[in-house]
Amino acid sequence: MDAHDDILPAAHSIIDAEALGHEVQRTYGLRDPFRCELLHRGMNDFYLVRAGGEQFVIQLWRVGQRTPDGVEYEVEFLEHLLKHQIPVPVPLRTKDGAPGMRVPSPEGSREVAMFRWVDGRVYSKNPTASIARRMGEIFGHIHRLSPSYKPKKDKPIDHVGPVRRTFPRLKALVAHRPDDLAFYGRVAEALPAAYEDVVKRGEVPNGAIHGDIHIHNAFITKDERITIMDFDACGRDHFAQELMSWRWSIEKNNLPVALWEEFLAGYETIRPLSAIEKKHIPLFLVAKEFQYLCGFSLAINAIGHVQFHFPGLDWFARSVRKHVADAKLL
Amino acid sequence: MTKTLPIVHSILDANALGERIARQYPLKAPVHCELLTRGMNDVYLVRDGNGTEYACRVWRAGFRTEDDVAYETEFVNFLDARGFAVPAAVPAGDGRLYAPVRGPEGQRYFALFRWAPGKSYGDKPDVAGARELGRWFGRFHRAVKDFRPRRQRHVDLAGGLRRIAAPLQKMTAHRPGDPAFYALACEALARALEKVDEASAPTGATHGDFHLYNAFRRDDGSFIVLDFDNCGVDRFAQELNSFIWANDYVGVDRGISEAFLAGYESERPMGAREKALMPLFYAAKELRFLGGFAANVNAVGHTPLLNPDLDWFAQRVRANVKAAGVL
Repeated sequence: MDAHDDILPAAHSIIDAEALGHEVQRTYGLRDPFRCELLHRGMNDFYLVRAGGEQFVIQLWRVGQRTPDGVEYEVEFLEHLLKHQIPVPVPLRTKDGAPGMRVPSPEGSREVAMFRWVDGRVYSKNPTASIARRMGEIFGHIHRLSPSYKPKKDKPIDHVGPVRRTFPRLKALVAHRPDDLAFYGRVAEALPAAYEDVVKRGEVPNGAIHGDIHIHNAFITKDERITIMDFDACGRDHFAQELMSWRWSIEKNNLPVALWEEFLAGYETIRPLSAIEKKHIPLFLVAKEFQYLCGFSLAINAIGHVQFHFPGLDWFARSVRKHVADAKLL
Repeated sequence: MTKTLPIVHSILDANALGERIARQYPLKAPVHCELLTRGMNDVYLVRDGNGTEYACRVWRAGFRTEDDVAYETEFVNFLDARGFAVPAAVPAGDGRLYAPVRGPEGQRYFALFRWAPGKSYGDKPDVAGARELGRWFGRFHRAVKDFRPRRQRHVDLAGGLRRIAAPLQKMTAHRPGDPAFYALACEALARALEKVDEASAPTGATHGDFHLYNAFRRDDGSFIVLDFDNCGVDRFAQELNSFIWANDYVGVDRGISEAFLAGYESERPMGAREKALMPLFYAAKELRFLGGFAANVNAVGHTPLLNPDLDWFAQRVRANVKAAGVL
């Protein structure tokens, strides 16, 4: 065997659908006829399950992306929202009542959760202002319901540690762009410091949030019923930070600003933003964007540019500079 | 449950792959490698110490044979030498145009291609562009008669249809009527295709999967044609129907397909019998696409094939098989 015969290590692997389906069927007590097939490979892997004439979706996290506590927080949050008629995916519990299960994969244990199938087309296929407004209203309700959600374990979203930890990856990604490298280095110092200050002051309202609302995370049916999808990134965070996820996705996808304005208008009919929240919007927008860029540099080699809908390093170079200037961060 | 679940596919670590490329290809250090996309195969962006970029395709284990890979890389370099804008394969240090690599799931191959600059034509298709691409394919089909590959690669249309019947039946088991219909349709189309002779529908080396997204428009307005992963000797008319069907699948204006055909025939006019067989090749393309989805779904998922809608296919395949006159 020469050196070229070595097995190269894998960053991520796709688990055989039948083998996964077998474990899931047993653990969740799903009926026959049963079939499991791979649906989508994104930040995590999703499988379509047909069991006893019903359809479900398995979410299979990548190794290290979610702890059992994290899965529990998400499932309980969804159950809480469903109790209050918020349109979100319906999670299933195992036969034993657990919020999820674990499966062993070559790269380590991976977390699993199950959801009922959601009908509809992704919002990004036809992004209209009227739906954006209604989604804003839904998020107003979600945030208003937040105080009544009492998780077993808190899940605060950290915007400081991940930037500091992942910045070396971003440096590697932009090593061929010296101006960006230097600029991002300054942002990576200033942003966590500014954010820590916000957290320390504790003036900006926070609570359980979705964590990653963007134009691909809502399904719309033909009769315009909305389901807010993918609570993978949920946790406790500033409500105003949540809104910046939406706003930034509108910018990233080069969509009309009206889709942000309508979302915000809908939101404020249910939960008006306070002056302190509005004041922090520019900083939160930088936080969203820069953390996305750092996260991209961390996950790129398991996910790839295309699945990230990555707009390119030139786009980021312009956009981060603009937002940093707007926030007067440097 | 303590045993590791089996895997069907792995994403090779980009750094490890980059090191392998640096060892095997005469590129200036440092060599940077990052994952670009996971589709039917995995594609990585490679950048050398000069800032020159390449695309590295790593085929899925078992998806293509070594002969298939050798044929494709030789074919794109033949086309490149003939002045066709395609991403040529870059020779490794040993002169080969591809290299084997082992992943956890088994033997795979990778090749380095020159970077294809430009924007996807599919993002903004226009009639003038379609006509130009049609001319490109007409010239291409005329030129391939001179291609003398060291290894052969034939597209087995009839055999392929028979092979997809089983995964199709499995995937549609929950839909009354579909499994039996697809079995019949695969066999009927296969038999009809076996009866087609060279005089009716000429063959030659083809791209194999040309659609709007497999052409990039460069800054000077010219096109570069990508992704010859499905290439091989096939009916030229089948190639044209790949493009036409894919346009219908994504709902592109029929004018794009018409302009493409007009451009094509300005370079390589089709015979009357070849034209009469178009509905057969169209139906074959559609069913092969659905069958390919059924055969590969558990390695790549629904997304790379644009989330096929089984209701849509059930209706369409029935209508198109009927239009082809085989059932």
